[in-house]
Amino acid sequence: MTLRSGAEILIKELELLGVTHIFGYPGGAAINIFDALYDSPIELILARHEQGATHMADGYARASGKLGVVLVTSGPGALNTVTGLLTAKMDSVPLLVISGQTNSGNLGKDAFQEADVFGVTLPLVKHSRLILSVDDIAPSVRRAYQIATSLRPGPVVLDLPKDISAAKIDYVPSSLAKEDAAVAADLSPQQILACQKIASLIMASQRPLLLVGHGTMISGASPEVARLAETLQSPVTNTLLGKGGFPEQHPLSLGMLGMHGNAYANYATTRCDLILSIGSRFDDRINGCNERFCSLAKKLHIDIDPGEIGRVVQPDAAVCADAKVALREILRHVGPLPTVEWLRELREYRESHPLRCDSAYSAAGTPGVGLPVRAAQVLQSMYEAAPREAVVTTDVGQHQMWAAQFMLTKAPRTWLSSGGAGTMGFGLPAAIGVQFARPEATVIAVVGDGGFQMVQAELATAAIHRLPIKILIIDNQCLGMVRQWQELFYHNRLSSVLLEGNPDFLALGAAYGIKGFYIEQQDQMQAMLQEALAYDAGPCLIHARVISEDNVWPMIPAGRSAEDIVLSPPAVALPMPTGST
Amino acid sequence: MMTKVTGSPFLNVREQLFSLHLSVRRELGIIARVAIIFSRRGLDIASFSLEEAGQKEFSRITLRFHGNSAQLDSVCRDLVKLVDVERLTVDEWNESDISSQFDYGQRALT
Ligand SMILES: Cc1ncc(C[n+]2csc(CCOP(=O)(O)OP(=O)(O)O)c2C)c(N)n1
Repeated sequence: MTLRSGAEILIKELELLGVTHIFGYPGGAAINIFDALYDSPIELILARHEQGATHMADGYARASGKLGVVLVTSGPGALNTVTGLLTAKMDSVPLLVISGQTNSGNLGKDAFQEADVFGVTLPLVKHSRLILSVDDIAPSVRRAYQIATSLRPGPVVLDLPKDISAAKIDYVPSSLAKEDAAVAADLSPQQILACQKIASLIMASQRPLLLVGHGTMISGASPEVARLAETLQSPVTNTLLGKGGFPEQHPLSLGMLGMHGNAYANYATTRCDLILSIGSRFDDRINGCNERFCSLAKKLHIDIDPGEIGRVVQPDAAVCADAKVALREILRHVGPLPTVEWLRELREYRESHPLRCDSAYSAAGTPGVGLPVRAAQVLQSMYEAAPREAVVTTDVGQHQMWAAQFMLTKAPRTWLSSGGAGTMGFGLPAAIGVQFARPEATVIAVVGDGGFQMVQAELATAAIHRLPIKILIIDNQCLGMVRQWQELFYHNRLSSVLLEGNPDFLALGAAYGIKGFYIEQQDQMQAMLQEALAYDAGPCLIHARVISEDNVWPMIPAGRSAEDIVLSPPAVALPMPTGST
Repeated sequence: MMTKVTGSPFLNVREQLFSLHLSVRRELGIIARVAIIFSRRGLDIASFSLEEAGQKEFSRITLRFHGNSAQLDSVCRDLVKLVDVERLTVDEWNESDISSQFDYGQRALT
């Protein structure tokens, strides 16, 4: 007989599932589990805050496609993961949060560090379980893994009372059933018919547009998307999270669509006669006004989640299936489309409405000595200096949008941003997770001076593991995106957006032994960024002090459609947007 | 009459009464999972009952709410996503009669 504690069983099961890294923070209710980790090959990365640990696991999962695992204690420890759970849920990230809980006999007594973790996290999870028997641990872990990683991935919470993690039973690990971890490789006859209908509508199109979403990445469908685009000679646009699903440098790519997307990508939606969404949910960042979205187009939708089909946009044809499998079927029924005119129209529009980051601040294209820096210029220079395969993570705000616009993404899983939740503070911890998943990769965290300060304690985590992350702080001395809204829609009444009291960021980094670089003039940019990219002895901080009064263009005011796009600073005040954010 | 529904089944916006019948796994918290799908949308549940069904691992939930067809569509999309929900059928009431019944077809959409 082999007696094993619940904690040991938990860790053994995670090992069997292939887990190699856990991001976490200990405490009394989880101490049995941390003790079991002592003898395990699994590496526990100690974050400095549980929110940080959760975003790290999220970044690890997004960059690798594997499950991200978080281990925290009860009460405040578990509740600090809540923002990370929302972030993962909104962006369909496979995450497992394991929380220690007070002894099961104490539940409901307001015991020390008791919190109803199951209840608090209910709306934020794909599934969750309060484990009340040690026999239930192994099956719960296996099921959690399966649920988190299959179909449309999402977060799962396992809440484990301390007496259950301490209890011992006779346990011999059983081998893993060869489960349908992923997706059925074969389509049903119904799905095949749906794909054929999609294909026949595609073949009737002359102005097609492919819309690439995060589902493309999750499914691993990028090669099929590229084949489809090239076969049809169709232009391609992508959502914020779809960056990398199709190379943005490709001649057929129009880049990002939506509220701050390229003018020419948005223009294409007003002129296309067909739009095929591949793993995108037509959310309000790309579809501010449903009645006017792609009004001339047949709408086609591929999504693994039946709940997304017809939720926002009524499709003319749709298939609920894995994108890769569905596209392979569709590819069997399509050929080149007569798109020469359509591509010419888009090229001409693009030439007359390019994405730009020049301004009065930049003298005739040559970066001038002593001239202040615009955020977009820094990001464009970073893009030019960095390897094409570099992984970029971001916070949320103006810098995120400029990074999305100017740092084109070539490959899947190399652009990580909190899209659905818009969580400030995601960038740095996510980058830490990425570097653990991909030790060889160049990882760049583009962060706002606001967002960075929400999670700056994680500098310690990056420093002790000597992760060579390039932390690029876009310091505009304000909460830029909110300031932009106040300027444009609230008569420039700046309410609580100025970040007075910002620290000396380089001194802060130095306190953790982190190397620093400083940029405040255009002529310093190239050299500093190159030096930072070459530095790999550990993390480095690049403090880019940029002008505060910059705004992100183009912009489609919330609730409006692509026709209402504002391309450059308006001469008259804009009307109050009807959309909420 | 049982009809399989795909996509947004209802387009009118009239307020009416709906009865939802769910076959669910008897798991901890299933009532809460179902209830918060309504409360997060600001929808009031008019009546709710849960009873053991044939086999011991399943229960049947019957609930009613007043709302429009778009709200029904929205809650149904989330209800069938719950891991523990096996089946969902909807009765649409017209005055005092059931005017139609739909099987929301858990994960059976193409
Ligand atoms: C946790 C969180 N709180 C508040 C917001 C609302 N918000 C969106 S953008 C933004 C400003 C972000 O400022 P900063 O990080 O400095 O980036 P910038 O916009 O200046 O580039 C705020 C406050 C948010 N997205 N997330």
